[in-house]
Amino acid sequence: MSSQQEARLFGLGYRRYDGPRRRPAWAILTLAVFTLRRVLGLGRGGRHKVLPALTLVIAYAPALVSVGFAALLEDLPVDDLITYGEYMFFIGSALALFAALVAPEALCPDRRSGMLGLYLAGPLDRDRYLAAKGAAVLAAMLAITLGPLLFMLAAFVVAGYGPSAGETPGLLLRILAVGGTAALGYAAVSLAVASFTTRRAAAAVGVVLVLFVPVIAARSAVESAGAPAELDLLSFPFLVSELSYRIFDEFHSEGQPIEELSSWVVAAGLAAWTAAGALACWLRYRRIEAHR
Amino acid sequence: MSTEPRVVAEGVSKWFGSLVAVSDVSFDVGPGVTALLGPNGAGKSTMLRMLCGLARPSRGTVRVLGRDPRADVDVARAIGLVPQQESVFEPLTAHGFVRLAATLHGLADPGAAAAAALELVGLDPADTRRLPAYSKGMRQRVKVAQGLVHDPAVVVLDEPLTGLDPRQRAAMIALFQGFGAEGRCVLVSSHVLDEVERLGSRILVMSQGRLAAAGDFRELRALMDDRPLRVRVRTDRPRELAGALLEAGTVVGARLDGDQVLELDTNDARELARALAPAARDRDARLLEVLPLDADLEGVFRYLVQR
Amino acid sequence: MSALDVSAETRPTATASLGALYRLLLRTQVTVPRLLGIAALGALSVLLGVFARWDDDPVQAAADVAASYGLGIVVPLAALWLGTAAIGDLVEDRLLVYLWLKPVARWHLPAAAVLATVTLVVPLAALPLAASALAAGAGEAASAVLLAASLAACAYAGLFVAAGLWFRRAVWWGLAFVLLWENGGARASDGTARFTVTSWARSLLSTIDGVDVPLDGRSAAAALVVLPAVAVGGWLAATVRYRRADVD
Repeated sequence: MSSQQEARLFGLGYRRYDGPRRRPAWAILTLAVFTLRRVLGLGRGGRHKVLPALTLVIAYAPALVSVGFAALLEDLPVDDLITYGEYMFFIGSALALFAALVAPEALCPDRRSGMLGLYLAGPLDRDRYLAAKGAAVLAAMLAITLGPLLFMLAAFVVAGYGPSAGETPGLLLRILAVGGTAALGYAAVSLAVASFTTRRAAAAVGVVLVLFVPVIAARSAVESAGAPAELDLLSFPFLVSELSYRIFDEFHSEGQPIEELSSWVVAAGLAAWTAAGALACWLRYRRIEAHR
Repeated sequence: MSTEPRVVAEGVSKWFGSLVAVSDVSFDVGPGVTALLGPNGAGKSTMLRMLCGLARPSRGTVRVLGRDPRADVDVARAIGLVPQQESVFEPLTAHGFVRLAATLHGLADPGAAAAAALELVGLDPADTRRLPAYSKGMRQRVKVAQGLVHDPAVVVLDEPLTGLDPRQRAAMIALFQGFGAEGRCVLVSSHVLDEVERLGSRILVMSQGRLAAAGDFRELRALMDDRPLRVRVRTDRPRELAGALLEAGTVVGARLDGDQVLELDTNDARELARALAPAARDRDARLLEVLPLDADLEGVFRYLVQR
Repeated sequence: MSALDVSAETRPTATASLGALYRLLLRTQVTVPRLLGIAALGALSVLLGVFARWDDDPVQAAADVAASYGLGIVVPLAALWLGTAAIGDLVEDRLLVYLWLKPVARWHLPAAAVLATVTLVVPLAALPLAASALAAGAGEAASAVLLAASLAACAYAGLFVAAGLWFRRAVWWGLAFVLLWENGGARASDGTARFTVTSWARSLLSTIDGVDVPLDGRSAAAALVVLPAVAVGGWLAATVRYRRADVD
């Protein structure tokens, strides 16, 4: 008797997925990675990489120049090199530009195209969605707040200008503190602004205005009208650079009224900005209607 | 009006980097209604954009009324385009939108022309609602009105029936047929084949960026001699009738489907039409139904794009 | 007129088409968020003028407000936001097709865009700056501030309307231009400063008696020519790009 397989017909239509399903944390991670790649132009054509690359170059330029001088010139006075503390001051414009690029790109297209509704129809709720987007923007900002400082540390150590072995852990902690708080603050503020509009252009302009207009208004009030120095707590970029100076035990080369404020006040001001930005973004997304 | 071709494309190609969207397409379109058909990604919209001067051909030439629509802005006076995109100017009312088109076309009384165009498509010119408040179908009709307000000689419509209910579609089809009958050159791109069939029988079929066919779709069907025409015949004596037709060589294939249905393949539809009734009479068979299965536009289209 | 008549006589008059395009662009550019945002910036400049009144040298303080806040932030960012959106939004929303396929010379749309941008930026940004000088009690500076801000608005409008056509992310390039070049490059050297709009505009502020304005090393008389020339150059660049565009 010959053995013969039974003839069978197989349906080619829709089939349910019956395999294992991962936890929602994977959905958050997937969206965060996708968003990070999108804002940096990875996996897309060359022209999508131009703006992120340009901003990264601007942010790394002072570090590259400093390291270059250190490598090429012998016996260069340490004071002529850029310091860790003043680095945030030097790249303030680059930080603002990068935040104006990244956060709108992360949030605005989803609402404009209707993708938000599709995301929320799956395992992502609004909180998880925001967590993913926040993680992506934070990771992108860390590349610009932490990256140059770590690069400088490594380069100076190799060139012999760096800290001793015993000082390195402490310096590393300070670098992480400065880079982390700056990235958190810029991410929170820029996400808050981007949550109020569906157009990337409007969000980008809004981010720059929110960052710089209070600086000018506060300066004018303090210098001309004799307003209290605490008004400088409205100057977010100044807070970031001032905290950076304080963490590295450095001082401005020119006296600034913000130096009158205690370190705790400066830190609290920066924390308040970060919390306000995160809260504004969260509240905004609780109210948004998601539809196609 | 003259019967000279209004729109002429010669050796037109368009590429975007390494992607060839349109490849060496040549045709001419005269007065009357012509349908531009093709599956998604065939290059229809790119071709229409080049015909209207919105995009420059990478190679070849396009002429509308003998002039280059890309270089000569005055030719725009003779072209009315109803584009595919749904977006409209949000701050404007329907009358404001069509009036803008009339003004930019240099019409003497843009307000009156806009009102007339809106009435032609069944909309109220006095409606003060802004365009975002309109339904999809109403916005589509506004787009048609702005494309017709200046009485163009060449009307190009990219998916003009989208969003319209059956009654509105019928009205729009009648409108386009009227334009064609007046001697205007009407070029319609659509996926709704049964309604395109009602517009007329002249077609241009594009597939994968190339022109697959041009002309009357019934004549095109007759040219497809490598593909027998399939006809369904319902009769009370299918076997006898099939045997007679096969013996006479009138058909090249026959299939029985149930007790009364016969599907016949023939290379000569006219011969089958002549021989069918006598064969049925000779075999004492009653003919209950005779229906061509793939002689319609959909059949022709399906064959052309699958080649 | 026959449907086959496509001679140049069928074109609308330049006034009619420019007017229609200008009114359309005004309506599409003016959204509530843009209006409120720029008006708020203008209102803030008046507040800064009030602060300047308490300064030891109110006229100098008013000039500083006009130079750093007005010409450094408000006017360029207002022109950026509106100018890039004038035609840029039409491209993004795929509405340009309704304006392209018309018997209208290609230079009309960019011209209407620049004019519409200036129409909005001058009252929303430049006028409040002049009011700021009045609020500071420096009335003698108001006319110079208004002139400087208005001409700067024209120059930026031309540049950013062109940017809206030439670049996909025009706003971001414009932000980089304002923050890095106009505010940074202007300080780098006198050579780079002459290629910034802000230094030419600031030279008009230096005509105010007893005032010292940084980055004002240009001739005020030349600024009256250079700034409009920049506007015209931007309009020409926009027209060139518009003529070559593939319209979606």
